[in-house]
Amino acid sequence: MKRFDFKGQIQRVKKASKRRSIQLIISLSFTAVSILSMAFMTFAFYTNYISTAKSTAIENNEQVIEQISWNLNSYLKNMMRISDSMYYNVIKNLDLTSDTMNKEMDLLYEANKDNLISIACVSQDGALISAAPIATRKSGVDFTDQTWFSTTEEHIENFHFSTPHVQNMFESSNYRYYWVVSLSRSVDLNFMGYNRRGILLVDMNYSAIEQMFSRVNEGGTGYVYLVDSEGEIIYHPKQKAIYTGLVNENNIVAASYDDGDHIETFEGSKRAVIVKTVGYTGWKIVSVVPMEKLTGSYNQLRAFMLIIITVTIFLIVFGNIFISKIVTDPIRRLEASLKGIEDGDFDEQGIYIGGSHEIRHLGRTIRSLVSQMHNLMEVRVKEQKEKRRSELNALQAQINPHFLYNTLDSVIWMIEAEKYPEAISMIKSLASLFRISLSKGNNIITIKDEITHARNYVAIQKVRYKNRFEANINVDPAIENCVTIKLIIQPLIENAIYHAVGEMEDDGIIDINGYEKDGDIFIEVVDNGMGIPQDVLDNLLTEKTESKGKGSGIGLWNINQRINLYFKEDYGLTMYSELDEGTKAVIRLPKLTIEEYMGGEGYAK
Amino acid sequence: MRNKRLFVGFSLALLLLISIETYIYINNSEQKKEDVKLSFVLTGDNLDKWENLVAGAETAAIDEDCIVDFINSPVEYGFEGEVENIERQLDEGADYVMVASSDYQAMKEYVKATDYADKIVFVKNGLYKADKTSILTNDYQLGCDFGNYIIDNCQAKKLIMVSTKEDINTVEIREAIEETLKNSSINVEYRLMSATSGTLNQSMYNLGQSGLYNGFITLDNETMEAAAKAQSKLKAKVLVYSVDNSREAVYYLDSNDINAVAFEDDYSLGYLAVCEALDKKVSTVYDVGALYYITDKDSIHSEQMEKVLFPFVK
Repeated sequence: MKRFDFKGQIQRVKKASKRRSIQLIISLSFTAVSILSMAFMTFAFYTNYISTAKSTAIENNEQVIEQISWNLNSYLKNMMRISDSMYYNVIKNLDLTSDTMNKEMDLLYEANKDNLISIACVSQDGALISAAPIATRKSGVDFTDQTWFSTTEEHIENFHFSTPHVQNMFESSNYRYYWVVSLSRSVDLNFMGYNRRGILLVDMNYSAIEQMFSRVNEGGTGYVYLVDSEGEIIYHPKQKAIYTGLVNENNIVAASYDDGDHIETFEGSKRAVIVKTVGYTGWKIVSVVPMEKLTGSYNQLRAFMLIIITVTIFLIVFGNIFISKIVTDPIRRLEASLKGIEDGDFDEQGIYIGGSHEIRHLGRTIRSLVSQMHNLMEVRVKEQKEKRRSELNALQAQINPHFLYNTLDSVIWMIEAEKYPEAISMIKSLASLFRISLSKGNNIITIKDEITHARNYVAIQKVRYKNRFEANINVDPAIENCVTIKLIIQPLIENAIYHAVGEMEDDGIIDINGYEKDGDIFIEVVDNGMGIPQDVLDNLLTEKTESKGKGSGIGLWNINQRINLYFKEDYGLTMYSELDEGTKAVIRLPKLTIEEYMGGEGYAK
Repeated sequence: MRNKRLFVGFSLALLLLISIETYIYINNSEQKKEDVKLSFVLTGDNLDKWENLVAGAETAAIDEDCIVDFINSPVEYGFEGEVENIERQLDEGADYVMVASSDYQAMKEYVKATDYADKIVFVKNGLYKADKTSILTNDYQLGCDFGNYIIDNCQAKKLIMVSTKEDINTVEIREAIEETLKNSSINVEYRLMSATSGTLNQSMYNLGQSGLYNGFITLDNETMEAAAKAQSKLKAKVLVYSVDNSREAVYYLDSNDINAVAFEDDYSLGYLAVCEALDKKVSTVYDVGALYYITDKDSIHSEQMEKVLFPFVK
């Protein structure tokens, strides 16, 4: 199984990021835009949702508080009505000496005993005038020491509500002690026609308040408690734990809050606090909801949204990569095929055409351009070749005027010396030389003609040089019908004569050999002259812009260039030389007949 | 081909991602943790004498993910009855059992033998290992403080200290009181009394009537009640100092039948026991101090004592 090339993938990504490929740009920008949009939307939705949910929770708690406030108000109003009823209907109208007060008080108590612990009327000096239910004052209890008594004495015009306390004024059986909230007021007593001041005490059963609140605290989030205007706790679900120091509450601060909702930090935790003041008493109902509970129920929503977001991001990334790949793949393939053109491959069929309409159109246009460019280049190259050939041929075709002058001078001399046959032979050779030189304008001739041309040239030169050198032409008849470029052997012979054997005394030898080897044709011109120094030899076939006179080597370079122009680079001229030994020029040509050459065999260009 | 591989790769990665996130989601969705089940096995014929402890435990359980159950083990069944109740509670899935045993030594051996140390918390009486598994009043400190209170507030020359049993709940307090009073002008004598109600009442009356002692120091509920009853019959009042936290003790104190009470704070014990089981830190636990109060007639209706001593009546 093929292993995943992780490193290779990373390298590709790095490379792509450096090159800033279209795919990368599309993927990154789309991904960034999508994620940012989604993050914004999610954030907006989430914060709005949470905010609404919190508001709803707070509103719900406010409604609960409203309900408790209403209940508590009703309860307190009821207690005040009892007090009013006792005062205005009984106490004000009766004389203290009358027994009716006890009966009326008992009746009122019996009618409301679910919410009452006791009703008592105490004189200003602390004497118990009447009480219901009928009970004995505990020994040692002095009413004037009681907080409700002193508070009422200080402000005689108001109702006074105490904080919860144990009712400890009357004897009780069965070890029971009742928790009460005392409602006290100053009253005018009628004692034998005299007005005296006293205090009417209504002890409300604290358990009624306790039950009212504990019902609310049984369900729901958070809890509700009740404090007086000073922050003293009247009810709290953990009241005793607070008294014993096990639990702390922010009740003093809560008492200073205005009605409405507040956010507070208590003992390191944030909580929503809703406050509602109860009329008449100045008590405050305080609802506390820890923020963590308020938002705790949204953990699931958060987890769900997180899943949706991550999966969506994953899909977006995948989608972007995939789409950008689909979009950019044709461009990449087109780019790859253009790289071939960059490297010189003008094969227009290699240009990729595919993908979207635009890319296909682009591919077709590029293919058309490449095709046109290819044709133009071919034409241009052909033209250049032709031009070059023409130049080289023209250069080669120039007959040294000295050669012609000397040849004709030799002919004149022969005629004057009445050596007519030699003169005729020389003129024939010259005529043949020119005929082959022209070759009806063809540059490609048979080896046979080229050898004939060389032979004529040698014959003329031998006369001119008075047979001071010997020339041997030895060509394999099998290659005589093969093609060669015209006038490539004669310059080599000319070089051998001028630079080697022409100056020698009778022992100069020029060997002209033609043979086939390894499927190619080799034509050698070998002389036994003084040889060519290596540094000169190395430069013989390099390009020369102008002739620097005799021995400049422009002729040799010309031969090599012409062979290269007509045939492949494998063919051409090679020079070998050794000082005092001689020089060998070797022409290598493809073995082609005229017909093969004309038929466009692969050796020719 | 490459696109196909890309698809397969992404599909697999997506599946993996969804699987991981589903796992996280399911775990996060467990809004409601499983409740911790706590059972209190309290020695006694009913739960009346444990009402403060029950109230404390119930308050601590408010807003917590726990279920608290209270079982009383009748006195007549003794230690075996308590063990039976503990095992039943554990069998029924209780995570922790809070024990207030009548026989601490036997219970300690039992816990050791059954290796229930991690499941059982000693409340009120007994210390198994470290404080970690016990919620206790500092009885010795209570004894010392109560002794000092008696020295400061009592003109008596001779007091008799009484209890109907010598157990973990009385011995340490007795020793602490004796030690404290040793250096004072008050002589104290200890006497183990009969647990039989009639005999006890008569004995206490006789002791009060004898004039040999200026008063009693009672170490348990039985002797406290007997002393209060004797007091009401005695022609010459005697001093009564009681170590007890029953509502009767409060009543007698309020009724002037006894002079002072050392009141163990069962409410806080119950509260702290639940916190201990839930491993919840109670920041104010050290403010609570030794988990007891010493009160007399003058302070019983003080703002602080009233709220601690008198249970809310519903």
